[in-house]
Amino acid sequence: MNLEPVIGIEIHVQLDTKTKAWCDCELKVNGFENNYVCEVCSAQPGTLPVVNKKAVEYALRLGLATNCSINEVSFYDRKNYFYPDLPKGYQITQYKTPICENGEIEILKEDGESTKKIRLERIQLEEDTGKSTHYGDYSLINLNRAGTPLVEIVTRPDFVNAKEVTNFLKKVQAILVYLGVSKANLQDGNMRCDVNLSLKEVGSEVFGTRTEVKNLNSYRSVERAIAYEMIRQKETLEKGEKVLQQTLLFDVESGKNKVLRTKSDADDYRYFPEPDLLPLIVEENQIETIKKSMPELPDAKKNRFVSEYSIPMYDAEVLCSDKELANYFEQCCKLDKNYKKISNWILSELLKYVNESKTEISKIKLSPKHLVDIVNLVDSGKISGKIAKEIFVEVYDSGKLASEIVKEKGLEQNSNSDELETLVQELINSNPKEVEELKNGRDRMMGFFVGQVMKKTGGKANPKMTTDLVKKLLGLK
Amino acid sequence: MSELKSVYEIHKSLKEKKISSKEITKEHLKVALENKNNSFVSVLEELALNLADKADEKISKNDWTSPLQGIPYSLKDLFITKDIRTTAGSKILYNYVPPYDGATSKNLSNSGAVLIGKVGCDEFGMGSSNENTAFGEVAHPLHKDFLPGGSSGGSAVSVLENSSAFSVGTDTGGSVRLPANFCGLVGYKPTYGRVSRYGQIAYGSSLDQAAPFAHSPIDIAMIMDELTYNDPKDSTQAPIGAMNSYNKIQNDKSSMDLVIGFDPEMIDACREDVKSNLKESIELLKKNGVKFKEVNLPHLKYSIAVYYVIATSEASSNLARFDGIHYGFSNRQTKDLEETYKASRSEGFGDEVKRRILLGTFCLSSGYADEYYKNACKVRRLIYNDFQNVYKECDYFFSPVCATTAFKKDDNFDPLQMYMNDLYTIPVNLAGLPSMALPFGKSSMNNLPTGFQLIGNSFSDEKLIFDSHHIFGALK
Repeated sequence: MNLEPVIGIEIHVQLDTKTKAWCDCELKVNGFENNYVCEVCSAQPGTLPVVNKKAVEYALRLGLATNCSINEVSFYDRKNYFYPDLPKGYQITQYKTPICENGEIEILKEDGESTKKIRLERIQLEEDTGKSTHYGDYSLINLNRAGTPLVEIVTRPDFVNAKEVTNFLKKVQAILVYLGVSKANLQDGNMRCDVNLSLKEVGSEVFGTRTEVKNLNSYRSVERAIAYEMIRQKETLEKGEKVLQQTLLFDVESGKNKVLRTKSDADDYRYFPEPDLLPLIVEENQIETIKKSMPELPDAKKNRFVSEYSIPMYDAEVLCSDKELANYFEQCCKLDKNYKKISNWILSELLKYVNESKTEISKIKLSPKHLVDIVNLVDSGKISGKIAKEIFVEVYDSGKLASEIVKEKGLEQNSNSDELETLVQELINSNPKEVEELKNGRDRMMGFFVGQVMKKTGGKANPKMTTDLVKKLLGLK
Repeated sequence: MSELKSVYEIHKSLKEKKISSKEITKEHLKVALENKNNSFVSVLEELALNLADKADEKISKNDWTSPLQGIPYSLKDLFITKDIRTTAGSKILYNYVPPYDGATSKNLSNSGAVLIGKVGCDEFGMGSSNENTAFGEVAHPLHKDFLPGGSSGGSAVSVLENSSAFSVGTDTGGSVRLPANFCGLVGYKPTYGRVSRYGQIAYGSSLDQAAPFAHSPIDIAMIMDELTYNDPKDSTQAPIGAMNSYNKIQNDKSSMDLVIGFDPEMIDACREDVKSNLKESIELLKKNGVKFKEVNLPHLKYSIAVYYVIATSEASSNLARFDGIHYGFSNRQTKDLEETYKASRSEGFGDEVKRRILLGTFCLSSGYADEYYKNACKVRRLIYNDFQNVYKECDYFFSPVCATTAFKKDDNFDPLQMYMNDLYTIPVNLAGLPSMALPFGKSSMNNLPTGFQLIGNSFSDEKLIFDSHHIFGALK
């Protein structure tokens, strides 16, 4: 059997509104337990929901940013099921007619170069549940999260591998942050992803039975769960068994997908229109107002970076995946025109330290001014790239300017040609074998000479100048 | 004992300082505390006396918050009252003390009226006889062998027995108009969306509406003016501001230049004693200048079926929150969560509520929802359209409230027979229309009250109350 995966995903996104979806309660999921709860979100008898207009606006922003068609009239529905952290006994969601439909998001394919469009089936408004914590023979419920406004983004089954899924998630995350509608943090549960996966014969139009994997709270988990599921389903099919329509839970410890429940006819949410809310009507002028206030989105920014700063598409993609990072880059570019080098330093050194120290770009001491200072020092030949890399960490930790550190420690690159020439001449004299090899066209030997000079100068020699001197003194071209 | 009964009379006497709120409150409290007819679930003696004192103090300074100031009333125990136990007539809420105040309670407390207590009803408003309750059925003050009707039976009886000058019930399928009719009172079901439903324990959300009982339409006007303030907490309330119908009654000139539609078949289908009184009221109104016109509403015959699909579907979802977890009755002597749900709900709900939850759950189930729920919604629209056709040429539609007078205690209807009693009241809720149930005459069979209802078009509430006031006067 030659099988290929068909993957679609659902993402639940907590909207970053001040108050909850149906009441005035302050949205503070991590506040003191059950302290951000009122009669509405604790489902006291007789209470009614009132739509949070900001949540609607946020959903519209997202819909417009992803080329969705906006439904002028959409409806709220009730999804009925019993669970203690759902105190109403039903979730208010949008079932038949959601606010946004038929959008698309462009992502990078697995090769990191070509792109493809992932189709969005729908974006619907709904609400989060409370949180249950289970202890041995009892459980506790915290309703701070109950009634948090959510949007659910449902894609078409357009993904063929895990990398595309994580690229998509990163793109969605970037869009949400750019729009300012969600904190969109997978780890914190602001963004939660369910993966639907089935296998089909290559070339066939017929999809296999799919499973749904839940509890994926990191990109790594998404990748592992998909990999595991592809193998599991393949093995199942190859054994001649049937894949069951199941809801699975990814277990981080074992890396396996465990069965949460097998779907059956008993799963019946008895959807019907929410009688406590009026149909949701979106006025044309509301859409116009939102359109006018739309920020530049990741893709637009990426394309602008490529044309305006002449940096490679890949660099632009990474820079623009994080709004703060893109801002950082642009601030650097205002200070210096060496765009490609700025981008290189950000993508290699800066991101390394930011990721290592698990912080955010907005919180670091190494400001654009610091970064440009380093780029300038290297570019003007004052320090070598090697020295620059060494002091980068010091700048990062202390917030001192690199130029000050260079001055204090006397790390300036040696560009004194007389001194260097003496040094190079000495090396030529004492290493006849290496000279011979270099003369015979073994270019790699140049590295030996530059390396020796560096060693003797403590890294301060200008490598280019050193190379030129070796060539000059040996009469090489 | 003063002879004062109606809101209007009491208000006049208070205004002329012939009596104090405290005096009248004490008189009403006495009847309430006796609770001869079991109308009260909770009598709030201390609160009532306090409220009366406050009202008297304001009255002494000629400071009038509203015409309801100082007037004793009761609330169906389906209305949320902050810090005052609210049971919905159900064991599942036998100990429930709400942490917030609902719109109706708040509006009336702002008006300065005096809350005597919370009155009994069919559990969650489900019933027509007042027998489906965890707190004992309410007796008919006029005849011990009969029932006052439901579901707002306690409300009707509290007004009839003079333990309250008025009462507010809820009308989902006739739960105010039917007991009003059985007790010879005026019952008014407003247009859906005229009164906030916030703090009214939901049964059928798209049908429920708070609805007052009183002795006359002018009383209704005084009450409705206070119940109709805009409430941003109910999205389904029309934000059109409070009514001004009491003023309208006092200032506008009466007119009997009305065209009222009626369907003779509907009247003929009633029991003989009811039928003859209905015909007599039509004749009397004709003599007063009202024109009657025969009309046909072909889809009304589906009302019961449509209602019991839509109301129970909504109820099955609305009552899911009573799960024994967050508040109310809970059976925790169980091995797991599933068992707690089952035990709490099995023991906490009465038979009729369980019957309706099951019916609604079935109607919404996948595979059946289209056949039942969706089709019911379509027919509901046709019923609304039938009424709209009537209002093209008529001001109101005249209809019986019930084919009979009050039910006998030993009638022992099976549930389906009982549902049929709502045939005339249900179309009004399905179409969302306002309706005034007016008393007229006594039965030749059992001497119990009879009457009719006038159904107006959506949001014609002020005019309907105004015209009812004059019709009521003409029929006296």
